[in-house]
Amino acid sequence: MTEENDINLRYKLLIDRYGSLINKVCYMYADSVEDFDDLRQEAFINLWRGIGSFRGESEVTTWVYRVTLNSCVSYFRKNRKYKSTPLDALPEQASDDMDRGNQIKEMHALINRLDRVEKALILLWLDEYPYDTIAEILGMPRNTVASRLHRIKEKLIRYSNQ
Amino acid sequence: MKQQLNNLNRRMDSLEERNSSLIKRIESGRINSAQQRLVKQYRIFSCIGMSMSFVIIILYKELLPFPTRVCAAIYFLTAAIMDSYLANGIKSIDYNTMGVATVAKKAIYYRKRHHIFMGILIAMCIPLITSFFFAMGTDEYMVYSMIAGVVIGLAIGIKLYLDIMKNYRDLTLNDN
Repeated sequence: MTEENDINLRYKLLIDRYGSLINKVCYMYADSVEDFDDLRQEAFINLWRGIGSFRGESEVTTWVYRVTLNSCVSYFRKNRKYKSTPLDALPEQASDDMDRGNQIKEMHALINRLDRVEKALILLWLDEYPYDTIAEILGMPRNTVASRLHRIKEKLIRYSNQ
Repeated sequence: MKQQLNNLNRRMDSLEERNSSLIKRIESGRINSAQQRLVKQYRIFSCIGMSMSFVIIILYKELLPFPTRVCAAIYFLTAAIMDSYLANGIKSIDYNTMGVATVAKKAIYYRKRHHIFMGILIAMCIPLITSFFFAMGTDEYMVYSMIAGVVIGLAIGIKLYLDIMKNYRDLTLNDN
């Protein structure tokens, strides 16, 4: 019981600290509010399942990012019978500054054109993680990260010019 | 783009209330992850398939001739093996320690296999149902029921098959 309480406490502290990071990653992988909620749920559950066995083999941020990204890249959209709600409908989006909202929408649309792994790579790079950490999270050699990042940036420039 | 991501960070902070209700449900053990649900589903179907392959050989002696029972048993056994393979594969994905590229590759691989297996099983259904028809075609009402079943099954099966192919194409185009 004490161990269970300890895990509950650690989990709550983890979500308090990294909740917005998890939400941000899930937002970038979602196409609708329903997808966003599903992805968040997946990430939260997988973090809950893993927290008991996490022994500090990596930085906590690295582990949280890895589990969240893994939850997102392995998610397959449900064939929904009803119409899905656009991400704009999130209350926090609707209430905020229009320009900033549009910029975020544009960024989301641009990044959404990348494949799952490319999305993960560009998110990590935009969050200013060093190449070594990105390589560790993605499970790729450092050189591959650098070359793929270069190709992704070229792609994004091409997409933004279209 | 970095500035836009920072803006997004600030917005995501305000979703805290949405987080707390989700945390309560997770801590109560009331919800499972998609991975857990999928593994459980495949395992259940695998058990059903294994059981049906024995049931049909042993319990349907009076109703069906031996070759038909063997065909049906092979069909169910094939389905059971496929489901077991998928269950083990998906269970092997470790979100905590595996790299994102590996998880993505495995997820897409097993998803594609799911679609391929569904396609194979739908195709295998055709000779099986034909053999049922020949085995039980003497009874008038049985024939009518089988025709109705085939028509409905065909309608559902074709839609399912087209959905499978569409999902498979999307996976191949978007994610390689």
